[in-house]
Amino acid sequence: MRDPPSPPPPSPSGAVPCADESGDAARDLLRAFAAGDPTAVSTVYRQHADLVARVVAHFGAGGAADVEDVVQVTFLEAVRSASRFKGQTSLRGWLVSIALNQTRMHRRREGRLRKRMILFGAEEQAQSAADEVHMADEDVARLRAALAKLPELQREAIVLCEIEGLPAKEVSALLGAPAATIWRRVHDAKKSLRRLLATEEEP
Amino acid sequence: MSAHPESQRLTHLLEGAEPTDEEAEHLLDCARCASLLDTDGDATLETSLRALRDTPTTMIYDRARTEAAVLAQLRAPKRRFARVAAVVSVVAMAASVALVLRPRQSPTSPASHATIEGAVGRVAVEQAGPDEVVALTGQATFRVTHLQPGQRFRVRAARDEVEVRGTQFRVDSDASGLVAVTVQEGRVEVRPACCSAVLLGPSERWDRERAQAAAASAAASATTPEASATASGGGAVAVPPTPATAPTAAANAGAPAAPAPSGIELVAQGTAAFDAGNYATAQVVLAKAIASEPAAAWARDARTLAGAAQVLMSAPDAIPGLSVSAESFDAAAKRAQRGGDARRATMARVGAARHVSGRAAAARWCALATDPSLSAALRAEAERGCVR
Repeated sequence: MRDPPSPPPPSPSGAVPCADESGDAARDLLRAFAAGDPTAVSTVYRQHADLVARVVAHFGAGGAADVEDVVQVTFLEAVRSASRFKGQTSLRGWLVSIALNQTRMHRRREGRLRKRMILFGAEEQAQSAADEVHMADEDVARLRAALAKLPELQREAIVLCEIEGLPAKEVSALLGAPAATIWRRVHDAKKSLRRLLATEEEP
Repeated sequence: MSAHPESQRLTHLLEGAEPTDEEAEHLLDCARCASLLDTDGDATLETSLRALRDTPTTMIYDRARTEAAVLAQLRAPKRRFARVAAVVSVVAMAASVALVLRPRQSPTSPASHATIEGAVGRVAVEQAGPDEVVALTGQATFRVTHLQPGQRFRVRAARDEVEVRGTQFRVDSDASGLVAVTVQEGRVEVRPACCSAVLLGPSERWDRERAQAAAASAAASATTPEASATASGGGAVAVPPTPATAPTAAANAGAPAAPAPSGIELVAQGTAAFDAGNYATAQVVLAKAIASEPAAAWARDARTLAGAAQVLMSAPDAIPGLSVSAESFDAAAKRAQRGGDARRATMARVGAARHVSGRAAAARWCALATDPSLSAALRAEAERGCVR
């Protein structure tokens, strides 16, 4: 939470405006993005896709294919609803809020699919799909597994505040809860994570 | 960021007091205050959490592929299923002026004498006017308006033909002709090239396999054609007034005099039908094989192949459960690829893509496979395993 998120990689020309900045260039970029202009969509995508993908992965979307699904749908939804974006929050925050909703929907859909697969006797496939993780580091994988066990509200708060380091005010607006509530969720999430990781270490 | 809380307030917070919103904002954004309040453990957890942010995104998702899919969908969001059809040239049937209809389409009326519902495949008006002929490759339900004297309405599938004598019927066909005809209301006359014509009434069904088996049986027992047609109805059977592709309907298709084929023989028959493009036949024969020995070693592959046939026919609910898992298609594709069976791998990949047709993955797959503006490397990745 303490370190600001990495800035988007500079474009080859170095002259691409960031949609999160103020000014005419950023406004033009957003307008072109809303119109579905491929160059503008590409620009915004490259500035924010990594953050969105990480958030989606940490929110518990599933494996790589699921993350790609949700990232893709997030940006498409962003283009479709861009005309409604009035700049109350940063573009980054707005994209994250769309990603959050899409991840929730995706998890619900996947949950239904998994139930169906189990119903038809495909437990093995259902399990392997659920267990898919993409972490080389064992510790990171353990931490991610522990994150997945947190209640949804706690997980969202800790992912945005601690992992992605978004400012408290932005997270508060994104999750629609007062800062004190967010703090409580983060606090409880940390306690739960420590307990989960300690339990796992016990022989 | 607001000012640090005073030491006395920090003590209260340490003792469990709830922070105000302003304090909470500060505590969430200030590493120093947060560490002072965090008495549960050392900073290992925070370090680990930050390490998650540094996970290379290449391990999480394919950025370029996803971007390409977003752009492709923005360009042509409504054409993705047509693109699938273009990729799968094996199911593209010749029709000069044809209308590509997608599954679950609302009633349409390319024909003047009938409303066409649930069309899957290609439907084209071959001959307009009072004697209207519609060419079909695939499946469709026809609701025929009342015909005036002198008016006719026929559906042609390859060399086979169905003529309307009533109001509502369903036709399943493939490249070689009619597969099945089911009458829901009224009467139709089925005139297959292979067998004798038969008149179907309400809730009656004509099935090619059954008709062919009946014809073969009749020939073998040297009965007269009239007796055979009388005994079997020329392949017509009574069916409940439900969609016509239930696999059980074909389970009666075996010739009565011959010993029932074993499961593995049925798999061989189903595979041959699949390879010949007779997906409907493949589907029912494979379903019969699976039903006969569900635990057999070959059952999994048979399910996959039947699922692929089902997908290629775009009949999503014909055999419930067979294609329930996109992962099973994917696994089958990999197995086939390893075994050097590129065609089967393609089919399974198509199956996977179509199975997840409601999902973004399908659009991504299609976009990658068909978008000419993509880089050669991306296209090669998407087309890996495909036969051209």
